[in-house]
Amino acid sequence: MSKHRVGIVVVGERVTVVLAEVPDDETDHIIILSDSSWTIQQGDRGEALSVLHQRCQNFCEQHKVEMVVVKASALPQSGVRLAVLESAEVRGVVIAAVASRTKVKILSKAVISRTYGERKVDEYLKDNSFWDDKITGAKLKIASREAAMLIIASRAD
Amino acid sequence: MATVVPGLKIGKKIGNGHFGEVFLGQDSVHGEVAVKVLSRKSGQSDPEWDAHKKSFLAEAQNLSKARHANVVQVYSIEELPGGDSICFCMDYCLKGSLQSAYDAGPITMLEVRKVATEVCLGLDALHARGMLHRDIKPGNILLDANGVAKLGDFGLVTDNLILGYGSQVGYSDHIAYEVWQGEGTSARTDIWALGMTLYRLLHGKTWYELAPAPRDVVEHGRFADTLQWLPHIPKAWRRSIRKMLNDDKTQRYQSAHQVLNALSTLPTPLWATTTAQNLVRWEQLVGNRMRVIEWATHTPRKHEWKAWSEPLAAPGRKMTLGGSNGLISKKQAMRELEEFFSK
Repeated sequence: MSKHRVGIVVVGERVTVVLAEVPDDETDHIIILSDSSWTIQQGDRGEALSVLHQRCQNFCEQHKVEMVVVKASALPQSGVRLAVLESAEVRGVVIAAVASRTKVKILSKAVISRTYGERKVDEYLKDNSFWDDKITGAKLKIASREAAMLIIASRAD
Repeated sequence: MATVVPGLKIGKKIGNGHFGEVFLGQDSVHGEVAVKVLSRKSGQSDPEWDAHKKSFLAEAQNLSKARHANVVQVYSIEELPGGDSICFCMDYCLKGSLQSAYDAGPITMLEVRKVATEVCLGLDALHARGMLHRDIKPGNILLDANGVAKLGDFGLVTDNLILGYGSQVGYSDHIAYEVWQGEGTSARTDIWALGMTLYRLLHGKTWYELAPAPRDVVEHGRFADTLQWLPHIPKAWRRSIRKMLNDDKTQRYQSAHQVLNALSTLPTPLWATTTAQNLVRWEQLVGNRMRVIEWATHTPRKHEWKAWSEPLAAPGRKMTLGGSNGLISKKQAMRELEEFFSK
């Protein structure tokens, strides 16, 4: 048996969405089914977020997603700029939309580093052999590894 | 009023479609509904009608499963007594189709992008279920009471109909290049039809009908390069629509999801546009002033344009913003206007 899981990372006005098939047997590779990026509509903010909300819901329904893992907001190391707050708005919409259709988990990079493996997340993201060992299926962009990492890190849930 | 199936009462006729007549109905479960009655056409032989009926009824199973906020929900499909008609009971969309808005003239880019986005969300859901629409056009995009666009009449057209009987004006204008070459329909032919629909909505009927009908030229290839654009349509819109209308289906957007991403980046300057045979007029509200541009066609070779701003209610004077230096060719007028709008 396997289940469909999604990892979502919001950076600025871009939403990276990785859909994967996760086999129950943890020794099996995770199969990447799709790796896509959604851009937030320009113009009226309310309308743009409403479209994003609907896209998230559609995606969960169409792919019969069992769980979505969203990368948590984090405090920036330098001062908080408007773009950071706007990005958090987008994240909130994504979380609300997927939660209305399926189970959702919010996971921070710091928590993954503490609970998954022995290295920090950023080291895994750079390590090509780690990815060869963990995933198969459709092509995964290097920039999308962080979204896939959310799926890998919550595999046991 | 006649009772067709228990609990369904058919009222006044509200429209005519390619496949039959549409009536307003009252359903004991869903309240106000639209009832489409598809009848056997005169001259249709028993085997032809039976084959049609069979494909419609087979599609019914898919139709009733296609629940989505941007897809007209079909509640039931019944064969009427006598066997010469089929009755579809579906969502009633209070604001009707986009056909009348298209007939009236160009629709603003903001409204077209909203409609296109909602249509794509519905189309994406249909494609994900392995279904095709096959007949995307202004008349099949319906607006509910809240102005939300929904795709209607999907799944009713078969490949046989497209390749053999597609004769209704407007309908065959949306047939993709590869279908004219004998290939079947696909998600990418739906994207072609969506591109054609967006072009029509942005330009309105009067402008659209100035050019040769697509049903006469698409099959010869490179149709996207022949499109005549109103000068206020930005390059980003043109690129996106041309991509949807690429002869090579592998060069089109491959999914409604990709179209959604493209739509999200399109600019939406708010020009209200009216087109007549010899005059195109644009209006844009800026603060308490109105910017106006008029492009007049005196003869096919003599064109003129001028732009000004004028106060709305408050006192003020009319200010010239630009214009042609006397009578110029159509090509020059288009070029100057495009430059003016791009500022």
